[in-house]
Amino acid sequence: MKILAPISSADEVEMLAENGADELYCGVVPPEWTGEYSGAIWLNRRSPAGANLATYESLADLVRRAHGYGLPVSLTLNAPCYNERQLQSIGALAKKVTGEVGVDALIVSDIGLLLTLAELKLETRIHISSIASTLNREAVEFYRELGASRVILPRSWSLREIGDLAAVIGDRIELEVFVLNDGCAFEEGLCHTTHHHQVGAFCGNIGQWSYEAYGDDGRRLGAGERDVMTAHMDSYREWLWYVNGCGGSVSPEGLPCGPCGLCAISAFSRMGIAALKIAGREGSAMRKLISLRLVKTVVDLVRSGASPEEVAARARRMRNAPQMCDTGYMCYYRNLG
Amino acid sequence: MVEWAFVCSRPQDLSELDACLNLETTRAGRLGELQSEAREATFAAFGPPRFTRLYYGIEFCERLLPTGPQTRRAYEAAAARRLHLSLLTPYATDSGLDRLRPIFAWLAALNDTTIEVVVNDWGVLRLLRREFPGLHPVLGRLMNRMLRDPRIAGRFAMPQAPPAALQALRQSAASAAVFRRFLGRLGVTTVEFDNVFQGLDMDFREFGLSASLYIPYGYVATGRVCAIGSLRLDGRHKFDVESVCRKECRLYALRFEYSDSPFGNRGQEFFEQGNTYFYFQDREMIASSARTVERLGISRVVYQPRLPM
Repeated sequence: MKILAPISSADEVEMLAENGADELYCGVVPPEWTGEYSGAIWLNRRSPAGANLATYESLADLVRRAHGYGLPVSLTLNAPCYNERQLQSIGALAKKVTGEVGVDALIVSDIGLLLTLAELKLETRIHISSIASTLNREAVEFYRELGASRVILPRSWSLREIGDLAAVIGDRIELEVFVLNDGCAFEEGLCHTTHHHQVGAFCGNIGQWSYEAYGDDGRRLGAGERDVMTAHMDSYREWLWYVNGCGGSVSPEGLPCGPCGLCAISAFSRMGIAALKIAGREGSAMRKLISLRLVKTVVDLVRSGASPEEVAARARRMRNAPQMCDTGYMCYYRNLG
Repeated sequence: MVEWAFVCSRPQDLSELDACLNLETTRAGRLGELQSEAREATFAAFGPPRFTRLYYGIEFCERLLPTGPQTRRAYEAAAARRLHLSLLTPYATDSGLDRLRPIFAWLAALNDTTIEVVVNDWGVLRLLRREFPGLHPVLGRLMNRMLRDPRIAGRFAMPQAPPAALQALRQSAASAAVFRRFLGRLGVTTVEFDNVFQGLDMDFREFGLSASLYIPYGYVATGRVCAIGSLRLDGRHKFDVESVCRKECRLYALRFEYSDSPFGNRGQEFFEQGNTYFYFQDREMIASSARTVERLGISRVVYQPRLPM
């Protein structure tokens, strides 16, 4: 069970390698892409600014340093869709980064890109991004047949569903799951909005908007129904706040608040999950480091043979946000059983 | 000649099929206004539609899938009105696949070559191809992953935007030859689209594909966590995919007003029903859809008499 850490600068390699990362993932947006498509069309799921490397040289430097520590590097090419013209440039990019630069795996969601990579016969691993919305075992098989080595399960999978999937298919393809930072209120690849800085996340916006509830027949709700709806929508807004990283807040110890699956790591170990993903390429180096240490501590505890109850209790103590944990809204995986 | 289809997402609405076919206003308040506006705009842009196909089922939630007997009723109601049937299917978990199998089996046994299955999940398509090769798949609108963000799509698509960016905004994976060849191998000859704010820029005649366009609602985002589906649950169990669903989505709809836009497009409306957010296409958008249909060689318009949940 590997820990997969986000990275956005070669300068972070040593820090992440020395603190327990087993694999790294990053993105690159070369200047020619931005020149051609402006900041509106993203090469991968994250904004060009902040979350991505800006040049092939900086990517090569990162990969060289990571390989020096024996860490493989995955590259995100996971925009929800590419058109014909984009596929040509992304295909060339993929050839360059897997050949000259030495990237070990490509994280992909678009079928057109998968097919393009297959035609290019690149010697690289393919990881299916959570943006691909792989929600059932038929879809996992579909991607396996298209050459995927690993599927990153979207955050909406419950622990029970992951266990069922791993039991029937885990020996044929690697499964990766989210364990820390950044939620998604919708099904990731089926939210067709942008997080562009001028508007922000759609699910972040909703919590701010005025709304009116109707009966399905269009009538306005009566006072009693309206009260129930108002209370419920307050809860929904609270849940959205958690999903959106608790407004970027941190605990007194400096731990990032927000979506978390630490308590489920014991179960993932039993299921044979291949990799635990820490989200947040766009985060600061400090956020990445603290997140990694948190996950590493829990993973070490699991590896030492601690019981799932001990692991969950320790994770809660480390987070030191019991009220937030108690809501359940901060959990990727509720119902630990 | 453009084919017209209309969407019926609820078993109980089969008894209102004739009202739907006439695009009658069946709702009160703002929801009713949308129905009336859409009807007027559609008549103005296309003339009165002559429906030949019924889209029955659901694209957004496996918990709302019809049962086998309900599908049979839909097929019979469609046949009685000389309509062909397309079964709408959602993105699905394994549990959803288990619900789909008997419906597919029943449809396959009919040996009716006019039946289509609109798929919105690669796993569903794989299942269909493997176990029910006689059923004809259509690639649903959820599979065409274009930007559908009314907050900013119009801004991005301003004429001074770089040409490559404009093209990327207006095209889907269907623009890629490698993708179309793949669809051909899977037996997919029709792909479906929302009428998006930035417009479409694909010549389907040149692609050798049939295409459908959905009016007057477009979907923005959908997910397994259903806001309204948690209405009566205690706080701890709200917004959890494993929680019990009482189908409150069939009782309520919410209208949100986008009030904090940086671009002055305040007052934009979003409608949430169940686990999905939609935008409404106003008169101008529906008028432009008629031009889009003509220009791009779109062969089918899919009309949603109301929010398709």
